[in-house]
Amino acid sequence: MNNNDILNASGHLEIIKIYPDGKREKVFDDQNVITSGMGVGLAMLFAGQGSSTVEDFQIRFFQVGSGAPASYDYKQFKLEGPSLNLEDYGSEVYSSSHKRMEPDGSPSTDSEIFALIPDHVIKKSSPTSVVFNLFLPLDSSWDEDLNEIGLFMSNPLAALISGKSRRSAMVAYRTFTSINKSTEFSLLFKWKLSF
Amino acid sequence: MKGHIKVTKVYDDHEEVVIDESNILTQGFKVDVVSVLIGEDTEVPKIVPGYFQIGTGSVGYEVCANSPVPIQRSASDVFFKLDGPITDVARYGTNSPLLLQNLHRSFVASSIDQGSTYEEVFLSSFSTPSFQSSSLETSTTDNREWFISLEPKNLTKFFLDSINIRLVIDKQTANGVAMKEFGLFTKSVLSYKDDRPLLCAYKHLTTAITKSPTFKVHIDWNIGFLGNTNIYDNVTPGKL
Repeated sequence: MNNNDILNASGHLEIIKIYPDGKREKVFDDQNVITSGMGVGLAMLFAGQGSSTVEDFQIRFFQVGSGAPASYDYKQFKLEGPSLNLEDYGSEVYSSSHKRMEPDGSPSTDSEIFALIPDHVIKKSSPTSVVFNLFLPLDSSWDEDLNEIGLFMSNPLAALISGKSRRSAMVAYRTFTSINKSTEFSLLFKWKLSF
Repeated sequence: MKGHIKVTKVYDDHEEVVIDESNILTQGFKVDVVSVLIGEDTEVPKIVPGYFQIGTGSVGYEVCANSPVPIQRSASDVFFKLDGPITDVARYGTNSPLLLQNLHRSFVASSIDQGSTYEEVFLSSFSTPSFQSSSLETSTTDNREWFISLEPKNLTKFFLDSINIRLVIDKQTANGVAMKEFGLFTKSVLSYKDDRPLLCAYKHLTTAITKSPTFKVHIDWNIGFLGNTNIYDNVTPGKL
């Protein structure tokens, strides 16, 4: 198969520290991995199955964590050490506690904490690419260094699991250089997905 | 994500696989995905592959695909139409059971000359400098084209992360037509009130299949993470 036969969805992640005086410091800038959860979501979408609501196929949640593995690929379906405390994300971030989708479509055993991605941080940068500006405010902080982040499609199996709670699928993942997120700075994750 | 197409001539007593290989997912597929992610598309049924075209020409995207210049390679999937779609409905045959619809076709338009003209993009990279001076917008053709309407029965799903579309060109359809290219279209980008198909996958043959009443043609089209993670067979609500 030639490369042009494949939809090479790709992602690019920039991480920027923003200090209260306005100073910005880019601490990470690299490609990321689109995971197979994206395939599940898009297949459900284009098959007209899973959900009849577009919102369920949108990337509306993210997680940060501290369990970055030494290596990973497109089969990664979860953060290895996701943040478990609602309060850690800070006062300005809306969050949700619900199940994550496992690779076979089943729900995770336990609910997890997901940060909500609001409408106004989702921007179309070209007909075939979209940018998410994910913000961790000044008052967000974690005891452990952050070193992984994941984007989640809201609930692609909604119609198939009607009556059951939301089940978000991870669609993109990246580990990064450890960051000790304290209340001294905000963090901006500028994540571009190109299809 | 990948696309795969299998074209089979089905005779009364045997079958003949004409091709069984990858196809090209075009920019329209990506436009649809982004439209959903940012909320421009508001109805899932509008994004589902809904139309099909058969043609007698061939889009020469390989010239771009095989170019040593990256920007030209990136243009290889930027086209939104077949080279020679069947424009005369009579060529499908008067007894054809296919449901045909006459619709405006969607495409992405831009200026390639600093704004003097604004037209359908064709094998030109979105990232060329000339595009930076003008916006890229979805638009539709002034004239209508004929499309084969896909029905729900055409769309099947065997795995969690891929879909299968089967179109049957029966013995009474398109006889005498030298079928050389196939295009799969989603129903309507950006939720237009009426369907305005957008090309999402394309395949052309090296040698045309001249249709005759002695055989049917099965066209099986798969889109998804093919061959990588197809781990969950026959998705049904009860299993999840």
